[in-house]
Amino acid sequence: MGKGFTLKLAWNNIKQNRKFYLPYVLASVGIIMMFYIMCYLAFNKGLASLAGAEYISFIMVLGCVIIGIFSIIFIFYINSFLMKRRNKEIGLYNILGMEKKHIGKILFTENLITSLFSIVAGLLIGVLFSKLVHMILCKIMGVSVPIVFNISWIGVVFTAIFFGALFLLVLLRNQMKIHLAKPIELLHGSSVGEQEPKTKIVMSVIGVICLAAGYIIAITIDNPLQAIALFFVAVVLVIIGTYLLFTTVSIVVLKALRRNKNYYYKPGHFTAVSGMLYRMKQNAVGMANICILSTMVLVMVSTTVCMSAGINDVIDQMTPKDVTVSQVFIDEPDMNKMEPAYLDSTLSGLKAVAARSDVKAKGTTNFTAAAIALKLKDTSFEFGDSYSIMNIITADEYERITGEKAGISGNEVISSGTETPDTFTYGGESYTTVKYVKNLMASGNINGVNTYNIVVSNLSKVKSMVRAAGDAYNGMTYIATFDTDSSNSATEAMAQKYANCSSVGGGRVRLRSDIKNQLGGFTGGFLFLGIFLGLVFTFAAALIIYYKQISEGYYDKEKFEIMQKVGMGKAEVRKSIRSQVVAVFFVPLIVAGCHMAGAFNMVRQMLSLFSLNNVGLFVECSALTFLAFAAIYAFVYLVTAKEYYKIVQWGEQ
Amino acid sequence: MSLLEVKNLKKIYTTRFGGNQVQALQNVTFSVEEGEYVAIMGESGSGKTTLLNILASLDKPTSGEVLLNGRNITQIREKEISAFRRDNLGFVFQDFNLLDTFSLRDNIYLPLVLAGKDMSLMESSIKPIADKLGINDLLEKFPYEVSGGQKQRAAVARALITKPELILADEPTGALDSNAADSLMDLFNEINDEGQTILMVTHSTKAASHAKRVLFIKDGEVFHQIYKAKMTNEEMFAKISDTLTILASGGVCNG
Repeated sequence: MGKGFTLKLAWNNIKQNRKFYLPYVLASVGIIMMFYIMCYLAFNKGLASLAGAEYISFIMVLGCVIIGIFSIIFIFYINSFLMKRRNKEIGLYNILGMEKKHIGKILFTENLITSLFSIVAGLLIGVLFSKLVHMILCKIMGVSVPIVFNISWIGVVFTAIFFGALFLLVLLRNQMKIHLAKPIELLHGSSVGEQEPKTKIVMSVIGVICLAAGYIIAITIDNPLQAIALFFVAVVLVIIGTYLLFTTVSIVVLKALRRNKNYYYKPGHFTAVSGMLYRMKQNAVGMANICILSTMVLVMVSTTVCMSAGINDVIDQMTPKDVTVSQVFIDEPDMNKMEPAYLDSTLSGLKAVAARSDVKAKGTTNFTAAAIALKLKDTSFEFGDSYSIMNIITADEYERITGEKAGISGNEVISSGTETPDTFTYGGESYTTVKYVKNLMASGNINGVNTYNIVVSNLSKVKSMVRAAGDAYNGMTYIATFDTDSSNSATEAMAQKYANCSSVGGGRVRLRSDIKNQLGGFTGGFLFLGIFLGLVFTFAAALIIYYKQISEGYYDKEKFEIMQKVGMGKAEVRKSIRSQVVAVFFVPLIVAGCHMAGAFNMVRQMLSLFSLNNVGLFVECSALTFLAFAAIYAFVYLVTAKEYYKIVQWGEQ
Repeated sequence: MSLLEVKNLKKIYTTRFGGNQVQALQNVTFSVEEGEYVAIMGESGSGKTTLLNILASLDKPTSGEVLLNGRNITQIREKEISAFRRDNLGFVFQDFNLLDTFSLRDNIYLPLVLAGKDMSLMESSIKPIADKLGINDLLEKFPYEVSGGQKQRAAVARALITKPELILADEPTGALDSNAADSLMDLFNEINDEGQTILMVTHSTKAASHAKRVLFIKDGEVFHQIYKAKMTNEEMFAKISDTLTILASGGVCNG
């Protein structure tokens, strides 16, 4: 067989099967493009030198790995679809006298054409778009955009090698399959007898248990550290549960419906139930894939959107003013650091240093808080917990900060930070929360999970509370804050001086601008990754849906012809087919929505690690993400359903 | 009045490009009385299947009419047509056309379910039919689990369960081995003896020899017909063979 002939045959095959090959090639191009862009960003030196970019490079490498693993699974999956459809054709070649060697050659040539095209086109588009993506990333992170256009050769080589190897593996797998198959099997390959799916009670029970366990873990988690520890456990349980839900639980439910004669033998239910039973057998894994991909997209995008939308609140909470100076006194049994004399003298010292650095300090306030490690259980605080902290200040300090009378006495408190319950017990005494104030104190650190900042009536109250805490007393923190109009360089010089100054020796200085850069880079990077991966996964889910629907169309066509022959009206056929297609399409989306809702509490806890405690904002972000995703999903449905109906050709003839 | 009257039926297919016209049926006229068992024979391409499709209201003739109990089925509106088909006609196909997604029982129930009949009615009607066809033990099986002959029996049961005026069979023995074909034909005779009208299109001389009357179609026209009357199956077989030979050699029919 001549080279020219092989090439011609391969090219013709691709052209004739373009309904299957075009989406495959487009998807490959898309994935290669995304992969290259990730590599480009991961290896980009300009990006690495930005403030807060230590996270960015890491995040991008993470993105590379995720897309890499994903593309292996995805390309193999789609390829198996393609090959299944072509079994008959290959069997025919074989029977018409082509040797397997020749068929192998044709397949090799076909793969060569599609792979080369995908890699070259993917890299070209990737190079073109990398700059745009770079600019978007810089914009999200709020840094200025460099003008130079460059190509990451490491990225190009790495991408080409990775995908070259991947396509080679796919080719080897196809060759192996052809080699092992018998021609007759191939010829009948696409119409292998459809057996009724079996009922697997044990697996169904396991599925329900996994799903329930995953949900229970996600819903009952009540602190962030637990959320991080159990996140992957819950995710794995839900993934296993989802697969079993679609593959076995659905069968059990449908069979139960079928056993109910009064329900089953009705015109609408009859064809729908039996049709769904068979559809589930062919589609269960695909539907589970789509569902899990959708859930990933939804959770990822909603979380990252919420993070970047809420980050300004976090920054306000951490550094309510431009400059925050803090110092921790670990062992401080007597409370004199809280007395006005100490506060006044320290503040004037700080002001003097600022003045020497040509920094104008405005609205200076300072206070010292006693810190207790504890944990809220219902309405009572228990001592000794590593991640919840209570900072206590006096009513006098409150007045120094806000300039207002606190107006509290006895066991009344003012709450800030994480809100305390209306009444709570602490060390055996009961307290009443009389009001809540936002951003009263700079919390000073980003890991301040559940930071209860409270104001109590006087210093002796603080002392008695500290005594009650015993070992849970974590010392005191002195914090001074002020705004300034001065330039960054002057402020930074001042910060340097503070660090060396004996009166605030060992104190830490935090500039709002630094925090903004750091957190902005961090959340911006995550937002970028979330949306980027969200797009990749959405893209993949759409393609899986497309292939499912197309291959199903050929099978359904026959079925609906029979139904019409035995007396089902066209309108009835249409109704039945539409309800089944809609079910296959939208059940994964609905289940993904449930998963998203189930994960809500867990993700919220994890967000609180970043001091994001705004539940309302998270609800909003989740709802918006879901709506946006549902809209894209519906669009894919419309496009795919059109192709499907074209194949089934209802209404015509 | 005859149960089925076919008058001057004409069907012309126009190829999609170039407007080439193919005349599948030229001028077909015949009638079928109630309780008759008629076989239609002819070579491939003689127009048998086109005729059957028109009788089944799956296709429309170019001109002419088909009257079932005096009602012109070519005029029935699209909306009513499937209900009409369901209530009046039973179908047996060469490739069975059973749905793999249903058990044999559900396949047989299909027309009744589509007609919205009661569960109790379905259960009471399937019993005698399944007994007669000897598929009582197979009802819970799926089409891919039973043999071709058994599938065709299930298909016959599906055709019978609505108690149709007319059973239309399109090469019912075409996909069966000779034993299964013989027993199916015996079954058709039995059903016919009970008063069921059957119209069968077939290639098989043997199958046709079971019918009470055989119509021959050639080039889109009814060319000839033979009544079985008191002939045995074997005599009928010989007679059909002779006619087919004449038909094939293009000679003039004198018999």
